[in-house]
Amino acid sequence: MREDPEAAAQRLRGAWQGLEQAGRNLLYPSAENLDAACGDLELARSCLEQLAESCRRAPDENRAAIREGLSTLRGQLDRVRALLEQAGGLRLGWARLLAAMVGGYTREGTPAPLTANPSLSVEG
Amino acid sequence: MGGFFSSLGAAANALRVFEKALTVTENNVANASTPGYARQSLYLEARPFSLDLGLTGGVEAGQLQSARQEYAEQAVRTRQSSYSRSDELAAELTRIEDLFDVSGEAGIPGSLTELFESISAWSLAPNDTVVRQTVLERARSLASRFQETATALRDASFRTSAQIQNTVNRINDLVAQVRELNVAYREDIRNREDPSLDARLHNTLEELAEYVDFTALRQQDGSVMILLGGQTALVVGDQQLEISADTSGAEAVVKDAYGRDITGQISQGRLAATLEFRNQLIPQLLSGLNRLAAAIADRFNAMLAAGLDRNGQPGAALFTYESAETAAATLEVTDISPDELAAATAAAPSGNGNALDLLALADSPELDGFTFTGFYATLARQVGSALEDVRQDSAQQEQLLMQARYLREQASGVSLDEEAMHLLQFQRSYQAAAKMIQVIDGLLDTLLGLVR
Repeated sequence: MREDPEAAAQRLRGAWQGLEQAGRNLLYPSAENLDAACGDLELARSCLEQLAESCRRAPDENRAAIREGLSTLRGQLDRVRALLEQAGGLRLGWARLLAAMVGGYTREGTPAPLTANPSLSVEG
Repeated sequence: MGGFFSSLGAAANALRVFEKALTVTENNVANASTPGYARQSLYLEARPFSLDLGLTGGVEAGQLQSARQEYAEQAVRTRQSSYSRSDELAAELTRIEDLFDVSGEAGIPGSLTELFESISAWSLAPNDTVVRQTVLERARSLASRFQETATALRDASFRTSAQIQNTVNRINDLVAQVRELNVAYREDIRNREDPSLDARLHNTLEELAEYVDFTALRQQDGSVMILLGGQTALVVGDQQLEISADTSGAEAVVKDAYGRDITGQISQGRLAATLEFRNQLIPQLLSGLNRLAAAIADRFNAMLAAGLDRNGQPGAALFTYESAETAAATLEVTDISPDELAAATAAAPSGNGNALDLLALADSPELDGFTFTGFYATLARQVGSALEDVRQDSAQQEQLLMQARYLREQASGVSLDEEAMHLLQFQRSYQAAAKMIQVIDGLLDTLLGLVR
């Protein structure tokens, strides 16, 4: 059975939309948005798996269009990856900085200011 | 009675503390939309409590601490520099994009095609004076296109030189503003906690990041030291070390206060983009254009000299130029007359053999394995693909800048407890997303293999 070219285009569009939405969520990378981005990426993955099935049956004349679509997706994926890596890198750096401060020192090696609230317990 | 007065004292103190907290809140509200302003937090510290010693407990205001995280600020500045570089480079390339027509119908390739068309007509009517005149006109037109393109590139180079000077001046102005702030920080210790000065400082640093990449280090006395490219000091305390630009030579050079060349240290920001455009891209394009102009002139002249003109004499040269380095800008048609064009060969003095040989040049690989038109197309593609790459990079850098700004807002004024919780949650989601990207990456590889 020959593959319908419109079906392949639809799957490419679906994958592209998933990646684009993931990128939008990662612009504001709160933990909630990161979870949402995972859902978007799952959508993209699912579309690509379906596309893989149809590619095996795709006639030669459709392959160039699919190849072009896949190259665009690759660019979009690189963008999503860069956003995720920067978000992770900044959070990690920030965590290290906090760890240094909690440990009693700033990253310059001077004593860190006390930022945690002291607590009081009464025994008797 | 002592306990009563102690309690009154504690209550009064608490009122003062909360009054101060209210001032901090007012400051935050008033400056909510001030560029560069970071939310301030007041840390309350518990006072010792002991009935025996008459210590009343309660709270007192701790040192007012800016919630701003220098770490997040530096991340934003780094992204700002990267984005500005791509943005500026895209703007520069867009300005010269029209000079390199990729359709092949206008500009140099269009004129080259027209010249070969006129030679084709000449080969059919080798003794027709009007056709010979047309060949000369088309050759003049081609020379003019070379001159126009080379002049436009040189103009772009001059304009960029002026821009480099202006950018360096702006950098010095901004650093001078930081120096003034440093003086204020050193003069009065209370200025270190002044939110408006802090906002001014970060605003100035963010604007500076637009022009050049640097590292800002906070000193013990509250002042900020700025290191261009992480190496060359621009301001240390109240001392500014101005940079300068020398654009008089073949390459534009940026120098430090002691006259040392620091061009290599500038890798991001608008200054890096203009330096790259002025020192690398324009010279590359001009060099390619000069090679093409010289190759066309030399090849045509050599072939015409090997043939015979209408009077049976060796053909005269068609093109002339001053030197290989300025061939495109100085390419001209000689004062050759139509009759001096050599259409014939020595073997067939009244024939069109030489005209046909000239026509064959259109499809002959003459320069680096390319035809003349093909070689020009590589130059046009160089501009086109550089512009495409830099536009894509610019779009990505803009998104990364937006994200870094968002994260800076998040880092401002979050308590340690909140932050620790966020980090754990973030880590789980991050790992899931990273894994998913890896899977999609693999799928794309498989798919590209299937449709190859």
